[in-house]
Amino acid sequence: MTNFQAMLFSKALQAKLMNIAMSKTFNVPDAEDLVQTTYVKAIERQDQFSGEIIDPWIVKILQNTFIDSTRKGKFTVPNTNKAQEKKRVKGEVSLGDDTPEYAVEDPSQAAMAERDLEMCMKELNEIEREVVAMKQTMSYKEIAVVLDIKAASLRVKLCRAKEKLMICMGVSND
Amino acid sequence: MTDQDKILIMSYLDNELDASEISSVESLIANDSEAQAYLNQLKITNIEVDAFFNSEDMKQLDTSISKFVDDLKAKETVSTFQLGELISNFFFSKQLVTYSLTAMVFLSAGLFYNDGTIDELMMEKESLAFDLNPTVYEKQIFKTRGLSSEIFDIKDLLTQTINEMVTEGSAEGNLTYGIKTYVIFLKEKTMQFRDGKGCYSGSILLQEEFTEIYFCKAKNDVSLTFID
Repeated sequence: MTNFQAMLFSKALQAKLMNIAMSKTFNVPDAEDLVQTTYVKAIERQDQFSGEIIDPWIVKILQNTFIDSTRKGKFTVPNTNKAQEKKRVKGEVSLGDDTPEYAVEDPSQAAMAERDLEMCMKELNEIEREVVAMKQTMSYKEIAVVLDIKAASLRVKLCRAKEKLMICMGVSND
Repeated sequence: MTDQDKILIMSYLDNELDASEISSVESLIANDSEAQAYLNQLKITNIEVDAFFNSEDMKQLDTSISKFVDDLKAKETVSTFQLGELISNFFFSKQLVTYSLTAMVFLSAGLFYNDGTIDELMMEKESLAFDLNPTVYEKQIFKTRGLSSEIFDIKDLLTQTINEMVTEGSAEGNLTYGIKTYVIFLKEKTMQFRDGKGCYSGSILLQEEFTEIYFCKAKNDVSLTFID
């Protein structure tokens, strides 16, 4: 088995990809499709892999596959806070700034203690969902490398995501 | 409590702080009820997040992806490594660089013809023990004018003889066909299948001329290729 194959077929990588895929699709068939497509593309493009760590490279493939598939209507984008997401895409809201963008627009949401996590995850933006998913199997340092961001920035994003979840689930009333 | 405190508390729960930061956060939690409440809220959130990523759906996904990856792994490790290694070692490590494309096709076809399952194949990468003895296998075929002798050509006879040599474990063989004698030498084992069978390189001497050969014996097939 080559070094590339050893990295590609590791259980650890599989768990990472599954978590990220699930955080994007929120259903098993689509997540399965996304992960499988990612593996196939990785094999097809293995000549392009030149690094020592496979995670950033393959996560990028997964991210791009998800974007392409969503554009083609294969996957449905989770019901996110569309206005906030639109502002983020336009660059009007910086992910790293300290504006209280996580204040849930509808105050009644905070009181819905029974609201399950899946619905709350859908309230997060794309990168927040990713960092929450990645945290399940990766260290801060690893996540920062994969997303190519600074560790400090990663902590801010993760903390913001957790606060959004706390508020959404009614764990916190802030 | 500042945003920085919140980040430190979250990092504390995630075991991402160094010793000095840990003592600082523990002090904060011990002396600040708001920080303590925040810590508890984060713990509850983490439990919910963990539950989401360990749900039945995730187990179902894990089962199907594991199967997919196992299948892919089996396919990839054989197709891109073993076969590639087999062919590259065959052509380059054994200095048989003049071997023709025809031979490669033969080799590939021969490998896949091995009982239809490439899983049966195995390459001993480093050193293959030569498993034939320095004994001489003798075979004599009388050349007749009968119809039955016409169905054999010399290559078939040589293939049959070498096959018998390998079965008998002889590295050398003499095939006498009519008035001609072919002296066969098997010099090196170049490939080995899982069942112990494999391929050999060698030469055949006829009338002071050597012809390089490559012989493969699989479970259900044998092949002889003349290199020159």
